[in-house]
Amino acid sequence: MNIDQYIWKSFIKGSRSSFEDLYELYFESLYLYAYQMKPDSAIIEDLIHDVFLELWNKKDKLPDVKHVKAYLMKIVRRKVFSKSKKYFDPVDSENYLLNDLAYFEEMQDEDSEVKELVLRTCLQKLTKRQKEIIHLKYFENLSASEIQEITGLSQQRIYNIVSESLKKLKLLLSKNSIILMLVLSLYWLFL
Amino acid sequence: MISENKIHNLLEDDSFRKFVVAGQFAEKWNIWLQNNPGYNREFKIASKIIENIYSENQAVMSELKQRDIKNRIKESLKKEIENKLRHRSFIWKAAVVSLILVGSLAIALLFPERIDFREQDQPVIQKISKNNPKGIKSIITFSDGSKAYLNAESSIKYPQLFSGNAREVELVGEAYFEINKDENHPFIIHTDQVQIKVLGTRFNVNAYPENDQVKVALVSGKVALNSEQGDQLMLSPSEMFIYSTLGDRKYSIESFNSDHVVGWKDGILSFHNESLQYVFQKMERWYGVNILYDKNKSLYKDWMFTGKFENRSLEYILNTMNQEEIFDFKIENDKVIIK
Repeated sequence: MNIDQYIWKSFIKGSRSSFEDLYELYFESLYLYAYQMKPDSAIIEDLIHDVFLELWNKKDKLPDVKHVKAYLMKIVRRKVFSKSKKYFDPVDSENYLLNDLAYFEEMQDEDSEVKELVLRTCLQKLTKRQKEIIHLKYFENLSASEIQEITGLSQQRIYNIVSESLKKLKLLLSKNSIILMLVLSLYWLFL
Repeated sequence: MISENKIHNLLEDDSFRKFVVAGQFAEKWNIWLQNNPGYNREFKIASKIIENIYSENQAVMSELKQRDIKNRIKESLKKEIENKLRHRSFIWKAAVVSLILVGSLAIALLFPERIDFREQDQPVIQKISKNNPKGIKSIITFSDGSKAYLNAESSIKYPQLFSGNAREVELVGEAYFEINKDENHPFIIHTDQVQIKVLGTRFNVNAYPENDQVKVALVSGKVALNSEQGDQLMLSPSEMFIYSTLGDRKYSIESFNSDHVVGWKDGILSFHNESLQYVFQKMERWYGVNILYDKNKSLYKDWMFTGKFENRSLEYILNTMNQEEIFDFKIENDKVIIK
């Protein structure tokens, strides 16, 4: 039994200090995960607060869990989806496709901090689902099966999403470096 | 043509991520890049992807820190949980509480025939055994926050996690307990012949197998003892219950000197009119040494010793005992030879 499972077992038996341990251990991960699905700090603060409160209130009904972090993230995910039905497109948001051309035109209109914008908006250009999977895979470093546990998606689906995302990102980042070079060189011309 | 697979392979690599985020494995990756020039563009893109992911999250994290969100939510949760608990009149305190119980079984000494605890059908819960040899004392914290100060030459066996209806441990030797109050889960200490059941209090249990007594000294709290004979006794702080393990089941209550009985946990070695044999035995245990002397010398047989030492060395105490230069002693590693 690893330490997570130990703390979890102790928590569902009613240990307040184990509950606090869970909070300390997982707060950041859960917050960041929720935030990248719904980047609104007011909403997410309430959400995380509610999640923990519910966990405490229902602790004696909770099952014994093997992957504590994945379990908690699953709960958070459900909550984000249910709370923000009006913000989230519940219908497959992967249908949203990036219009590369429109994006580049947009970029060319910007005259300052192009580089920063490029960096910052790169991930924003992914669909919500793609962004979520990328976050779980490359920030939380979770395995495909853990991601499956949290999202309910099949591992094949997850693999496909990662593939699409990388394709897109590669496109964005490679094209942007060209744009960047162009912009910078033009800039120098006008100095 | 930029290859996604190459990007994917890099991103899968833990050490690559660590390189981008924290600059670790710099040498490895620089060399790798030199040897794999075909990966140049993919390397840049993969790095940017990682940077993107991490910088976004870093930004959020620093905002969290700035506004101290974690603690604010924690405080709000605390209040809500405590309010709920208060309504159920269940006091959740982590600190030790003195308790006054009248007419109820706060401490019940269970005699051998009446083993009261139920066999728990638990999945295998890891049991931890802490054994102190001579000269070593230690502090043990149980999963509920209760503490035991385990004396030398003593051992305690306890589950990693308390579960079931009671909190149970096994003791051989001596320990001082600070038990957190939990009315729903009595704390039970099993010694060879005596079982002590408490709800929450501070007391010392002395149950060395070579002695023919088990002593329970109460430091804080006022408790009621029920004996098998049906007597009810009130034990007050500074009172010690002494139970004979010889089989005659005699017991008595005496007052005790705190330093004398419990002081060991604070580094106080204290004697009052004790025989040399007792004193040396205690010192052996305390310092982890073997004291060799002629037990038959009448000088040693009749010697009564009184003294109190706080965090003193073995040598200091022996010198103090020997102020009149009655004996010679030599300390060799873990042996003390007395002439």
